[in-house]
Amino acid sequence: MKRLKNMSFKHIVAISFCAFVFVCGVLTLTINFREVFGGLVRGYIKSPKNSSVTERLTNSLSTFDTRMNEYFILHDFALNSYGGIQKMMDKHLIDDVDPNYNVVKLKNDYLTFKSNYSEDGAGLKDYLLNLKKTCDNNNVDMLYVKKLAKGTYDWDLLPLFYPYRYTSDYTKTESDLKTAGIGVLDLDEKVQEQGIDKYSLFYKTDHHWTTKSGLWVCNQIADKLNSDYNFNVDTEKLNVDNYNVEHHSHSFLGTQGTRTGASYTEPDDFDFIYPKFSTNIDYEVRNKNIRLSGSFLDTILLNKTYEEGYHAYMPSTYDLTTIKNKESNNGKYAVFFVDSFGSVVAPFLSQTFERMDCIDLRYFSEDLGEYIQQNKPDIVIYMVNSTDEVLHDFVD
Amino acid sequence: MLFSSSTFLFAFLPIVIFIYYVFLRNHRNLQNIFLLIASLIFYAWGEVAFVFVMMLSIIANYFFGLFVSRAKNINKKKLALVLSIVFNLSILFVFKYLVFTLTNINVFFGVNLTVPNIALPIGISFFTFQAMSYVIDVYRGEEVQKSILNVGLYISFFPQLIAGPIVRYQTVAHQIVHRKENFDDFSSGVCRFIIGMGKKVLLANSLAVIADAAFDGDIANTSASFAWLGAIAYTMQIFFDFSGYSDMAIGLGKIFGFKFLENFDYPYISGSITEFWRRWHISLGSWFRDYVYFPLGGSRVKSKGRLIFNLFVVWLLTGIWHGANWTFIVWGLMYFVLLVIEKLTGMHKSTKLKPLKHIYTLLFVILGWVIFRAESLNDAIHYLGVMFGSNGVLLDNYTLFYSKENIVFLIAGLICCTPVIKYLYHKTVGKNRIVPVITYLLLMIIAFVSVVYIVKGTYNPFIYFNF
Repeated sequence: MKRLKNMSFKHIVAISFCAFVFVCGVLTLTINFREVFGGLVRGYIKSPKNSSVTERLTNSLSTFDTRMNEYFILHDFALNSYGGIQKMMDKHLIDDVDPNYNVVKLKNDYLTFKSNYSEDGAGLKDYLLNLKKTCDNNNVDMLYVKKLAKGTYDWDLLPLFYPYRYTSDYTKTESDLKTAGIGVLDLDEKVQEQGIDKYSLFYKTDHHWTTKSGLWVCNQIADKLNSDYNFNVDTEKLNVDNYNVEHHSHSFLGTQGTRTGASYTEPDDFDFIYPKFSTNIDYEVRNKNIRLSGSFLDTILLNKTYEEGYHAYMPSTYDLTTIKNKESNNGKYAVFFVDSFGSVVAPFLSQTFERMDCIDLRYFSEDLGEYIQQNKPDIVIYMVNSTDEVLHDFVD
Repeated sequence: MLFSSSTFLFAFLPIVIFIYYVFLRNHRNLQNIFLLIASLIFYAWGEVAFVFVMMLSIIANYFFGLFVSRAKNINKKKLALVLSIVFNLSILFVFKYLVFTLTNINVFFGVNLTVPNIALPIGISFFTFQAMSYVIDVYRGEEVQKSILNVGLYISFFPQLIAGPIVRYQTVAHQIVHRKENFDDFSSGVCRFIIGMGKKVLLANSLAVIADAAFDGDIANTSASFAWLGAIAYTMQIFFDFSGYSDMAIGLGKIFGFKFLENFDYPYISGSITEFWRRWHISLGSWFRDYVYFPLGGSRVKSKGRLIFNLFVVWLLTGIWHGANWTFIVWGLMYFVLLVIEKLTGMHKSTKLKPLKHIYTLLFVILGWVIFRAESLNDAIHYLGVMFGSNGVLLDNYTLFYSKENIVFLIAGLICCTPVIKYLYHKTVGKNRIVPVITYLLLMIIAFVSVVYIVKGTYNPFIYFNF
């Protein structure tokens, strides 16, 4: 008792701090033992093939450091507290440990990654022209879908005094592609034509399209395929009225939201949608050794829940997803180059094709020319922006 | 491993404290061995390969210390000392200056020597100077350490290993074996660590965002105001980063019973460059003073020419120590020129025109940091030009946006550069019971918010990679 009386504030600070650090450390290292210490093994094994022992050890320890942060026992609380602090300070630019992932809060409260350069698709053009040659050599149609994006290219929505003025203007690239005979579907134009608020198609806390927006994109592609390519795509299978919609309020914190915390922004609503109509699919994901047959729910959405967000439909780590639709009647086969935006497009669009191969260029390592030559699809649909993905050297 | 990381805060530190105080209590030798092992693990965590460089330095300097102490005559003592200095400086030269030297030989002499790709071991300047300090102090009469493990602990002790302060052997020799830990010092150490963590994680890292935006941006289109904002932000960033790390080091030392000397004393309130260098990176300044300046004769030389030469050597070496780039050399020589002017005119001793003297000091310090921060002399000249209006634009959205976004940190930074808080605390602490409570709450808030920032993973630049 006498000891307690003689304690000064610095003793109390020391005890409090040490207790906090010790308890959090013990809990993190025990409860998340596998994940944190697993990082040591993973970092060692996943090092580049010709790494020395010391390089592997350095990778191993670096992975441990990352996991200590990710699996810290109060990680979510810390993240939300951070968001609350940023909100209190009225910050509109939230810095990240990686400056490529700095988040900007626009005037309409949508979050977006800070753009660090202008883009015009020039790097994409040559790639697509080469792809066109391969398609032409194999009598395959081709369609380029210019994705819709939100971000700091929309100057009227930038925060007060925000100084970075980058542009996203694909006009010239699209014109060159059209001249070369490549079909172009510009979703920005469609949004303007139809008087849609572009941002209503996105989550506030993520840069991706909502599930219903994915259906809207499918409809734009279907209309284009029907009008310009005579594909006879059944658009009823892309009608939102033919889908079950499980609405989950404030359940989804997207990519930008997880970097700022729920206290900084309001989690989005998430619509978990799946077909009402009958479906019968052979579903294969090559690099994950997944082979399933059955309905949409028993294949594409097997064991998936709304808590996974749009990743439930097609996780971003799949290299080649093959969807064979036994209910289709148009006999068409599409190869669809996608990135994460394709996760809420390809699964639904595939219901109108007999077969759809979804290729994510970040993980697909085969020669694309050979793939197209061997498989001879009816159409190649390309829906990836040049600045998003690593483009393979495309050899015809 | 960084202090401002989850691994250090929630794994390394609690484990080390627990084992030190619970399992090894009252076993000084075992405690020292344990701290040495922990320090080597700490260093190896980020630099697995280079821990062997450190171990080589420990072994070599241990034997140099023995040779110096056992040498039978003064010439053999001197020889051993010279060999140790050559050895230590050679390691430093190879890892830190070889590439710079070869590159400049190629440029100036038009030859094509192969420039190797050599990575810089973090903290090599710090632990090399500490190692040299050990042998020099033994030469000067300090008792030699018979235990290689204690020499290893002195050189590699993790609190001051990668960012100082440069602990002189004579100041800790006795403490290695005879230190006395107590709860009071432990608590003071924790409080000091929290303050340092707050300076680094909250102030330095936040101000770094402004500084990096200014220095790494499109300088051709930067306004004068943003260039000044970036320079001032960097001035504060480097102070809070460096002094924050020193606070954490001093705090950690206290936790384990070591008392390190202060390394910063509110340098930005200085009224002269002379005073600035008595308040900034005190451990480096005193190292050069005691091991270079005084042996050259210091100020007690017969001619002004000799005085100027002595100052030139010290400030050239100070610049070189900071990094292998012409910017650091020019930065060091800038201070040489200013210090010579002050010494010859005696202006640093004058009590007249104090406000002007403060402005003059701060101005050159800020301009000096611009040179220090720039990637090249060309960039430095360009940036300085922009600060004085060479782009013809005074104000722009960059200034307004970054000021608005970071107003809290800018104001907090300005306040914390001065001893205002310290003054208010000492004025009120005995008079008002609420002051300790407020202090406790403030420290816990700083600790909490710092942990939040660390766990979230915010921008955390490491500016010691040059050292």
